[in-house]
Amino acid sequence: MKKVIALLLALVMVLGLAACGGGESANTQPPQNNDNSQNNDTPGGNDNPGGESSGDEGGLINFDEDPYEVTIQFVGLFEENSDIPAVEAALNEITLKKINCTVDIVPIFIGDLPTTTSLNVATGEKQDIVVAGLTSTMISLVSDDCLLPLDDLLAERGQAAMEVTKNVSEASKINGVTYAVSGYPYAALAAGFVYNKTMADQYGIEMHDDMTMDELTAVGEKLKENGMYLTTHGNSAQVQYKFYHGGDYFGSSAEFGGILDPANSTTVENVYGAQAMRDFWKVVKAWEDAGYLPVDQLTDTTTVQEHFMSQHIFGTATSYDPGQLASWVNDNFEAAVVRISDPIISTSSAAEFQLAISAKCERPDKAMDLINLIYSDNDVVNLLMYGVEGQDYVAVEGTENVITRSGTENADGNKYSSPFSRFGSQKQRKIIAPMTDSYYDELETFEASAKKSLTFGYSFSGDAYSAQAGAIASVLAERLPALNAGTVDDVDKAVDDLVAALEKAGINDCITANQEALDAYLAG
Amino acid sequence: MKTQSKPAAASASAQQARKTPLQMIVHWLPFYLMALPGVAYLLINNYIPMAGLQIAFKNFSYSKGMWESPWNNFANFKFLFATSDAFIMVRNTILYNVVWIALGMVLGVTAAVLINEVIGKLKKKFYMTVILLPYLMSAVIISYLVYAYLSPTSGLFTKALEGLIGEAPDFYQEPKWWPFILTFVNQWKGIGFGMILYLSSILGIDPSLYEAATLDGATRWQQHKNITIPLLKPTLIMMFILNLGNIFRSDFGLFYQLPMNQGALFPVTQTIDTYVYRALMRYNDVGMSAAASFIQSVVGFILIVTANKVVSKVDESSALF
Repeated sequence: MKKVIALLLALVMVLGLAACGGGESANTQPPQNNDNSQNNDTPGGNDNPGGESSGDEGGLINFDEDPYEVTIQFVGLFEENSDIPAVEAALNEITLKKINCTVDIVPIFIGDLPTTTSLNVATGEKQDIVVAGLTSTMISLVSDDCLLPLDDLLAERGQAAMEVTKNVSEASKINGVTYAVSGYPYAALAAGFVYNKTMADQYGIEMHDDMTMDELTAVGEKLKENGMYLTTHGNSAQVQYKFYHGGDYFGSSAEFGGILDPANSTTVENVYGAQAMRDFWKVVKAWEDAGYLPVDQLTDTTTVQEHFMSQHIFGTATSYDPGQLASWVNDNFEAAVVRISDPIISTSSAAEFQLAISAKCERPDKAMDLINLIYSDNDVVNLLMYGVEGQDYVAVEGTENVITRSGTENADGNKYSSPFSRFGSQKQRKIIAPMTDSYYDELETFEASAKKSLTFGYSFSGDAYSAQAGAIASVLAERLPALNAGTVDDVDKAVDDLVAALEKAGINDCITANQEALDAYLAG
Repeated sequence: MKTQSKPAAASASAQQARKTPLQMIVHWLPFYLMALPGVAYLLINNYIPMAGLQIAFKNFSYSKGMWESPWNNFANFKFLFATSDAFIMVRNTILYNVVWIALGMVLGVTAAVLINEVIGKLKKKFYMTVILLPYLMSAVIISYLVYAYLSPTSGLFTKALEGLIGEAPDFYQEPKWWPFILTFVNQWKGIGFGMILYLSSILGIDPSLYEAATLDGATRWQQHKNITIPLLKPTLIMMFILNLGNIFRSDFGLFYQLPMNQGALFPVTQTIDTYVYRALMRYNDVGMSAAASFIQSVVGFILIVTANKVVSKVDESSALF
């Protein structure tokens, strides 16, 4: 009897708690906003293929139903993004009129992106448009059943998105099925070196495109004479080499191999054993020995961006395209960037930022409507990218599409900005000063100058090799930071030990399987 | 104890037998209501989640969920044992725990005895607070405290060493120091909690035993050796058995935060928990982490049951169950 009473009471409590937990999602109602009076169709000025559209050319939108609220991820660092409600209100004025939905911008810390996306799918938390490819490969999200196949939806209601991204659509496919839409339709990327131009002018340092490692070494020497550091690699277990020389890598740190010259080769190799990588680490060690790098790189928890913005370092290697500078613009000094490798169009560059639809999305049709609107309406793109004009940024006088945050309350980017989010095509977006209106022509030229990777569209699923991947990741986390920071005593010995440990962890099995899959893909 | 309580228990059950079912409910309801939060907590946190153990044997799909995901037998367990890291992380996890369990008991009892010797309520409370304070600190804060001492560029300890002997080791690149650093920090952090447990047992010892020993001319050391330690034995055994249950787990905060995620230190700081966390953060594979937790729980369960069995053979009254 006692046991029965205790059990019943506990059961009532458990059910009560469960009922409380379920209430939130059950009561979620899309906000009502029927103020369609204001026309937001200000021209973006860019020659986007979609141009301005009503958003409902096919008559597919049901304006009689209650507007559905579409959530969209907004990936950032530590920005407050307190202007999100204002941005949402401005967006809703457009979206209600064109596709009868409202927008809920969901800020997400970049480190939490993969786990948040997958856990929301697992728990059924409301989630519509998600970001794929940024911190984890799209293929891993597909393997985890987190994404919806989009081919039918794109064909039915995503014409503008398909048109804008048609050159890179292969990068968004897994086994011939489309799961996302690229945010980098102009996907050419090179390695670059962003630097403090104010400092360069002060110390008489000349930077130019196609700088070699030897020339960067000379820059480091000049900076050392003036008590400044060239750069820092931090405590990185990534392929640091790629930021200086490019390449195509499989897995987050080439644990499934890589191709150092993807424009001319389709051979997957253990890149850590390559002579080019070894030579790179020798240069880095020389930099460390000479005092061009901070001595406490490995234990320093300050990010490279913070070091650069606070002028502790001269510059940093980064991905390069004509719009890259926007991420480094600040009020303290003039930043500039030079290209240090040849541009290439690769799967990873086209797939680095993609919009996809969550597998548990309640209304995939409305999510696709918003994705399509993004690729056809410059105002929507620029609201998502930069916030509300006059509040989060202002136009630069005498230019067509150049903007600046200086002089606004969003000067530090804390009110609304994201260094990682990319919406629409590059040609739809406004650009941040000191870039100029010539950016759009430079983008075309840069894209035309780039070779396409011979493996473009291919990606490798390492699901069957997760045990090896875990072991390889552990080896890399143990040994790579010291090599990247140049703190090893003997580079050759450290590389030999690294390669031996990787082989013991099973990297050759992964590479063999990857090569077989790639050959099968290339064979058609 | 058991013989003394028998007549009272028999009387109580005779009284209850005379009560009607309604009177029984009225009598016992307050007790069950008092137990309710604890029972609910146990159910929600400890029993209902056990359904998730199946994830360890499934190829988990976020979309299909726990129940619909396909089984993959023991594939998730390969992740832990098919690698050369398996030996290192299991060795580190077990050896640190063995040393810390032993040290924790010795230092905890010592601290409790010494605190008990302190005369003056205010002084006693002051010392207790000072010893307990580190237990309340998060591993992140402690990691920066340690960094303030051991930083290669500005650490207090490294600078002092440089001043004294001309050079100091780069603590964050040399694994050999970390078994000692981790042990020191673990004991410094945990001694307060152990001290409170043992002190509460010491305070429960009948003072007349000490008075009699004093009259017989026993020194303080003899009193502790022959009275305190033997009477602490049940608590020590209970703590030992409970700690054995966690021997396959590690203090994640300590092993992950304190070495500042330095790869060079992995040979002595990689444990099962940090290995699983790093792999999970990179590959987001909950099947693997579920498999690791499953093994930790099973090993813990087996160790607790075995240890309890051994204890019950030696001294039945000291066994947990």
